[in-house]
Formats: sequence, C-alpha cells, structure tokens
Amino acid sequence: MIVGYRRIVWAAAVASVGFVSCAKESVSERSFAASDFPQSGAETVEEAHPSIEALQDRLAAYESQMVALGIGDSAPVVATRDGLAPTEARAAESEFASDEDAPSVAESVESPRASRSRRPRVKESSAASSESSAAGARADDASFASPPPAEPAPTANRQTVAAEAAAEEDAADAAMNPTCTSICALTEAVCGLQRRICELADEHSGEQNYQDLCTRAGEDCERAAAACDVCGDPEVP
Amino acid sequence: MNNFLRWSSGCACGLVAGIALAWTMTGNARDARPPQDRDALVALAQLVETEHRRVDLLVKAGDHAGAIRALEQLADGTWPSQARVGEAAVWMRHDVVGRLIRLELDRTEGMPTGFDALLARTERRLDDDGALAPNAFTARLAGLQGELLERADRDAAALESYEIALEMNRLLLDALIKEQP
Repeated sequence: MIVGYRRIVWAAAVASVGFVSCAKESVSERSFAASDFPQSGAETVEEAHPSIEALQDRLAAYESQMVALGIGDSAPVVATRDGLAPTEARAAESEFASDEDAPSVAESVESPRASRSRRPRVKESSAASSESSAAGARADDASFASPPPAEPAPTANRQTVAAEAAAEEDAADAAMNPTCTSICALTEAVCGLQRRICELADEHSGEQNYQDLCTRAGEDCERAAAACDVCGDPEVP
Repeated sequence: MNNFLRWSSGCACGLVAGIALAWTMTGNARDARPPQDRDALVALAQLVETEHRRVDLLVKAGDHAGAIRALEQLADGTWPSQARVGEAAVWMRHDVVGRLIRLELDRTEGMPTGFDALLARTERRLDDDGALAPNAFTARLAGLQGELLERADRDAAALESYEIALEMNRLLLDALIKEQP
C-alpha cells in the first residue's frame, strides 16, 4: 500500500515538473507574440500601397468581420469615417506611394522604420520620434530598400558583378533580419528615453535619483546601440 | 499480474493527479496559452493595421486633426476582451493610444489642448490593463505618460514613468540580444 502511494506521489511530481516547464516555455514565447502578426513586407507590390478608398473598403470588411464575430454589436472598433479621406489625403497618396510599406502594428513603435537600416543617432536626433520624422525616415528607408538599379560597368566581369550582387543580398538580409530590426528599433526608443531622462536630470542636478536613472539610461542606450551595430548595419562606418 | 495492474493503475492515478495539481498551480501559465479566439485576434490586428495605414496617409497630407480623430475613434471603440483574444489586443490598443498621444504632443509645443484628458487616457490604459508582459507598445506609452507629466511640472511622477519604460525596454533588449544571430 505504501509502495503504491509512493508511486502515485512520484508520478505526480514528474507530471508536475513536466507540465510547469511546458507552461513556462509558453510564457516566454508569449512575450514576442506581436511578431507573429502579418508583416507588410510579405505583401505584393500592389497591396503595399493601397489607395485610401481601398483602405476604407478593407476597414469596412474587417469591421463586418468583427461584428460577425460578435465584437461590438452596433459600435464596431471604428465607428464612422465621415470627414476622413479629404482631398489632401488623396493628394498624399501619390506621394505616399513612393514610400516603403506602411508600418505594421508590430513595427509602429517609436518610428521603427527609422531604425531598420540605420543606427540611432544618439546625440543628434530629437528627444522622441515624431510623426513627421517617422514619415521622413520611411522615405529614407525607401531609398535604402529600393535602390535605383545600378548600371553595370562595361569593364566589370561577371564574377565581380556576382560578388557585388551577393554582398548586396547579404546586406539586405542583415537589414531585414527581424531580430536586428527589433533591436535597432528598441535602441531608438531607449536612447530617446535616455535623452529625456537626462534632460530632466539636468533640471534636478542636486537629486541623486534623477542622476542615477540618467546613468542607467545611458548604459542601456550604449548597450542597445552596440547590439544594433553588431547586426551589421550598412550605414555604420 | 496483480502487481503489474497495481503498478500501472498507480502510475495512471499519479499522472492524473500531477496534471490536476500542476493545472491549479499554474494559473498564470494558463493565461499565457494562445488566445481562445484566433479569428477575432486576426480580424482585430488587420483592422488596426489598416487604420494605421490610413492615419499614415492623413499625416502625410498634413491632416493631423483627421489622423487624431481616426485614432481616437479606434482607441475608444469596442475592443474584444483580453480573455478572448489574449494580451496582444492590449498591446495593440496601447500602440493606438501611444500614437494618438504622440500626434497630440507633436502638434503643440506647449500644453496640448485637452491635456488633462490626454493624461487621463494614458493613465486609464496603463492602470486598467493590469500587469503585462514586457512589450514595446506599453513601454512607449509609459514613456509618453512621463512626457505628459513632465509638461505638467510633475517631475517626480514623470521620473517614475520613465523608469517603468526603461525597465520594460531593458527586459525586451535582454531577450532580443539572446536571440541575436
């Protein structure tokens, strides 16, 4: 009887350990669930630059889908759109069409596009990313993502061209690595925070807690920037 | 034969008991399972993504008021519960609110119109949504809260918000560096 009881206890313990470790794995995976979302880069060229009418059609379709799923009865997530799609927005479409893909939900933080292929400018850029700077950064990135086709030099042999193409491909792969993209985006955010914190600390020069946080933020910014550099940013000298 | 039956039934009982024990002990782990309603999560993500694109166009056209209105409608609309679609929905909402606050702050150098409402909106989201796994959207919102508090000359509270944002970003960075190729 005692032996049987021991077996039960042991089996329970083994099962518990196994189950808990599986559950922990699940928790750690959850932290990056946002990266599972559909990325705009996966879309075709036509889908990447939709018109505002196309976007509104899509929104209407998604709203209907959500209502059908029972999320919001008569008040879907986006209620009305009157007054949105002004003439200026239409004018912007053609300009916007030259930009890179619009950011996905997961990429919308602190102008991540700005850091996709660029080391954050720790000392130069503004304290926090603004919508205007984000738009500008996207335009910059577009030039990186879609460089004008280089005309082959007449004297270049095939091997050189192939090597250059391979190097470009490698650089593009490095730039598109999702972990590197996230690290560089995070660097932008951390260094922006550091600037704000240290500016605040300057106003409280006699208070240690402000100085401590400024120091910590500086360390984090340097660490993040170093990690971003490791990603082989083509713009890093 | 009897011994074998006793042994195997003991193991089976133990296994069931162990799973039941672990199930009750790991409430948090159960929360971390994939969302119950993946279709709802995908529909929500697509809708939010599309609205962000439309806001991009409005901002590009200089229609900041329209962009802000669109984000306000999105932020204040009906969102599926966390229990139904998981924590990702909360992150998405923080993303929307964060972008809204950023636009408002960029529009005016000084105190933005409806400053109290902006601060209240930020605090409501950060307080009501409870403890979340580290994520860039909530970290940004905490940083923006700090910025708002700083403009209201509440520097001590601003420092606290910045610290939260910094800590969350640090955890994210640690995890990402481990994943780095």
